[in-house]
Amino acid sequence: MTKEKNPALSEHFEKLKELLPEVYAKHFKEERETRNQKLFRMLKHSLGVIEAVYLQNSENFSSSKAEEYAKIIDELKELGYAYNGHHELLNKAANFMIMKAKKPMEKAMGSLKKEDQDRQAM
Amino acid sequence: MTKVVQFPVSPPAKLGHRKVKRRRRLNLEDFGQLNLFSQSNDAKVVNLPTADSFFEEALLLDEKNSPEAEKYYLLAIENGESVEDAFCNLGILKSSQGDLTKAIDYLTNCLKRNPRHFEAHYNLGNVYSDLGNLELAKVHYELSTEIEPEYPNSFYNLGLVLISMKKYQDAIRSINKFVELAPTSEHQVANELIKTLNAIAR
Repeated sequence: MTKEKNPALSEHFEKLKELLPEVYAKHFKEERETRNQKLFRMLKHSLGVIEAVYLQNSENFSSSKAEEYAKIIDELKELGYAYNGHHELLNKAANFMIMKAKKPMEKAMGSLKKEDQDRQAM
Repeated sequence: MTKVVQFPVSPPAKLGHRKVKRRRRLNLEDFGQLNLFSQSNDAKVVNLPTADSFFEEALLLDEKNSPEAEKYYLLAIENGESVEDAFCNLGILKSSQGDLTKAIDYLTNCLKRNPRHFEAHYNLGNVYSDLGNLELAKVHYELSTEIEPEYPNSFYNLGLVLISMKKYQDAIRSINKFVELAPTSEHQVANELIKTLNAIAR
């Protein structure tokens, strides 16, 4: 059963909308906020799935994936949401980021290096 | 009996000016001469090795990031040229390709032949830190600092591992040692790091 609109009331609210647009703007804002809250809930759920995958097999969970996870949490915090994240996973990401700054590999130069050293000695 | 081969040399039919004509190239084989220099029409560019040994060639190719480098390192190993160093550099190649298991295999093969191979220990430190195995990374960096105490980068990377392990005082010592050994151009970042570490360690 559908409710029929009362034409008198409907007209009244239309007038109100025109007279007090800020009230309706607030209403839309609230609607938007609930949508964001829904998205946040979904995102928290997704992050929970990532954490579960990590806990199931932490050995095979690459450091670069951990870094991506940490980036999402950082962005959430920047947007004003509070999500602590999984401590161990965040630690893994932090270690990965620190070690990214390491000095590169060193090639072995064979006899070339020895010759160079001899030249320096001379 | 000998056979007299007649060559196509004939006196000009008439004297005086002679027009330039497109001459047909003589094919001496038509007159019984053997062509020892027959060539195919397909031009081929052949890369001749420029270095004296397979290992040196591999190094040159490696510098140019050529995929051929791997083949030459393997040839060097087969021919007994700088075997340890070839294994070590193959380890680096594999690591850059993301094949960390094979990288460890090559680097440990190098250490099997020379347990005090400095570069192999240092590079293994890098591979283990990529894998997130900080304990093993620390051991290999420490060994490389024992073997080559004047090489600054081992101290820097060891410092980073110690930060990850939250051993801040040891990390400060290691990075200070890096500053002592490294050229001044590399001091700035390290000094900033020490400053931050001092703040955390307090």
